[in-house]
Amino acid sequence: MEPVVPLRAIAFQCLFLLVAIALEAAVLRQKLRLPFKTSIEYAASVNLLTASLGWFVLLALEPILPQGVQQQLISYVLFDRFFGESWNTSVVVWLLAAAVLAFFGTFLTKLKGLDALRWLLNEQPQSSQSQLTSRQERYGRVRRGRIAIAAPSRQALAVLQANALSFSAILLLLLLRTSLVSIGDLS
Amino acid sequence: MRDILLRLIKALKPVQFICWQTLFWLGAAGLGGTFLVQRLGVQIDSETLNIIISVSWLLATIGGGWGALIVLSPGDYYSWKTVLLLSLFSWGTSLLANAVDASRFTIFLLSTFSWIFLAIAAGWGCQEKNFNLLGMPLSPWVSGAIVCWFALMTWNPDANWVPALVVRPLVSAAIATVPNFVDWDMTFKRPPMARRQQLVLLVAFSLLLSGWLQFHFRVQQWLTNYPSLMADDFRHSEFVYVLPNQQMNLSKGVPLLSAAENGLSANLNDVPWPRVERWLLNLDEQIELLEQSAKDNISAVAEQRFWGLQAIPLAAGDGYDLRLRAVWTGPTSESNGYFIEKSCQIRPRQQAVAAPAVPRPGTVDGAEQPNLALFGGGECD
Repeated sequence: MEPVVPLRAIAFQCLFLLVAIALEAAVLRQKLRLPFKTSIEYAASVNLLTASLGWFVLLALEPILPQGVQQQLISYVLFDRFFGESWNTSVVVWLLAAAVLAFFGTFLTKLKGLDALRWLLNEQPQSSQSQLTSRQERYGRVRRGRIAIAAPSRQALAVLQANALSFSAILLLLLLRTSLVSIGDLS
Repeated sequence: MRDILLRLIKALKPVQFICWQTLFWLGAAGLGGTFLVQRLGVQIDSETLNIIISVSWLLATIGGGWGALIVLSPGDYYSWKTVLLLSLFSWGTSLLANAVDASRFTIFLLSTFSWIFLAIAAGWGCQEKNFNLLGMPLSPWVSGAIVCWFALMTWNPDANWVPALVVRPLVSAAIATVPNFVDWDMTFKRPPMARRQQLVLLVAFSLLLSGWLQFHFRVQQWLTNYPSLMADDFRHSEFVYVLPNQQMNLSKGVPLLSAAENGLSANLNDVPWPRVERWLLNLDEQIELLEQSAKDNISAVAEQRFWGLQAIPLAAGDGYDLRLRAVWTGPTSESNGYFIEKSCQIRPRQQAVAAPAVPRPGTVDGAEQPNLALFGGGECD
C-alpha cells in the first residue's frame, strides 16, 4: 500500500459539487418555482447521483480502454499532463468527445433522476415528456401541417439550463486552476 | 453484584419441566461434556461430537438468552447487551468447537452466528446510546462495517480487505434504509414522506463514498503494476496527494541498469580486444540482446514495455566510453520521459597469455612473456 491517497480529487469534487448544487438549486427554484429547501434537496440528490455514476463509469471503462488511452489516463491522473509520445490531435478529439458525452450524459441522468425522485416523493407527476401544448396549439400544428415535435417540458428545460450553468461554472473553475498552476510554475 | 448472583442462582433452578432453565442446563451439560471428553482424551467419533456440540449450543443459546433476558434486565426485553452476551457466548462455543476439532461446518455456523449477533448488538447499542456524528447516526455504519468484514472475510479468508471496504458504505446505507421499509411485524411499508428524501440523500452519498474508495484502490493497483511511478513526483497531480515522510523509492531503472552492466561485463571482460571492437560495431543488436536479458530482472511485468536500453559509444583514450541509458517512455512528470544513465569505460588491458593455462589478470613485464594480447576490461560508475 503506497502512501498515496486521492485527497485532492475528493476535495475538488466536494468543491465542484457545492458549486453545482448551489447553482442548480437556484435555477430549479426559479424555473420550477420550488421552495428553497426542496430545490436544494433535489439538486443535491441529483448531483450526488450523477457524481457517483460518473465515478462508476470511469472505473468500469478504465480496464477496457485501449492501452494508449489508458496510459494517457494514468499520466493525466498522476501527473496532470499527457505524455508527449502520442500527443497529437487524436487525443484532443478524444477529450472533446468525452466532454460532450459527459455533458449530455449528466443531463440525461439528472433529468431521469429528477423524474424518479419526484415520483418517489409522490409529487405532481411532471414527466419530462409532458406536452405543454394547449388545444389551440395542437390544432394550429395540425393545420400548419408540421410534424408534431414534442415541446420540451418546463422541467426538462430547467434541468438543461441548470446543467449548462453548473458545467460552465466547473469549466471556469478548472481553467482558473490551470492558469493558477501555470502561474505558480512560472514563479 | 451479589444480588445479581443470588438472583441468578435462584432463577437457575428449574421452575417447571419445560422452561428455559432446562434448556439451558441441557445445553450447558452437553457443552461441558464435550469439554471434559476432550480434556480426558476419550475418543469419540467426531460426527457425534459435532452433533452434540451443535445441539447443545443451540439449546444453551435459546435457554440462556431467554433466561438472561428475563433475569438480568427485567422488562427490558430487547436490550442490546443481551445480544452482545449472546455473541460472546457463541464465540466462546466456537472456540471450544475449534479445540475439540469439530467439523468446519460447525465452527462456521457458530462463528457466523457470533458475528451476526455482534453486528446486531453493535447497531442496536449505537442506536440506543445515540452516537451521533454530524447529526447522522453512526449505528448503520458500524453494523455495515462489521457485516462487510464478516461476510467477505469468513467466506473468503484469503481475499484482501479491499472489496469489504468498498462495499461497506453501500451496505451501511442498505442497513439504514431497511428499518424504514420493514416494520417489526415484517410487513412491507412505505416510509413516510419526510424520511424519503433523507434516505435518497443518504444512499446517493454512500454511493459516492464507494466510488471514492474504489478510485483509491484503482490508483493503488496502478502503482503496483508500474512501480517506477512511485519514484516520480506527484506534485502536479490534481487527483492524488502523497502523504509526507516516506522514504525515497528507487525507480526500477536502477536494477535494469545494474543487470545491463553485469551483462556488459560478462560480454566484454577478459575478452580479446578485437572481439571487443567487433562487439561494439554490432552495438545495436548487442544492446537489444542485453535489453532482453536485463528486463528479466524487472519483476513488474507490465512495466517492461516502458523501459528501453540505449548505449552511446564515444571514443575516449585508447578505448571507448559507453553510456548506458535506461530510458523510461511511460507516464512521467518530466516532459519527454527520462533516463537513468551509467557511464562505462572500456579499456584494453594487458594480460598474460600462457598457452595452456587460464589467463591471469594483471600486467606483466612484456619482454619475458612471449604472448601478450589486449583484452577488454570495463568499469562503470
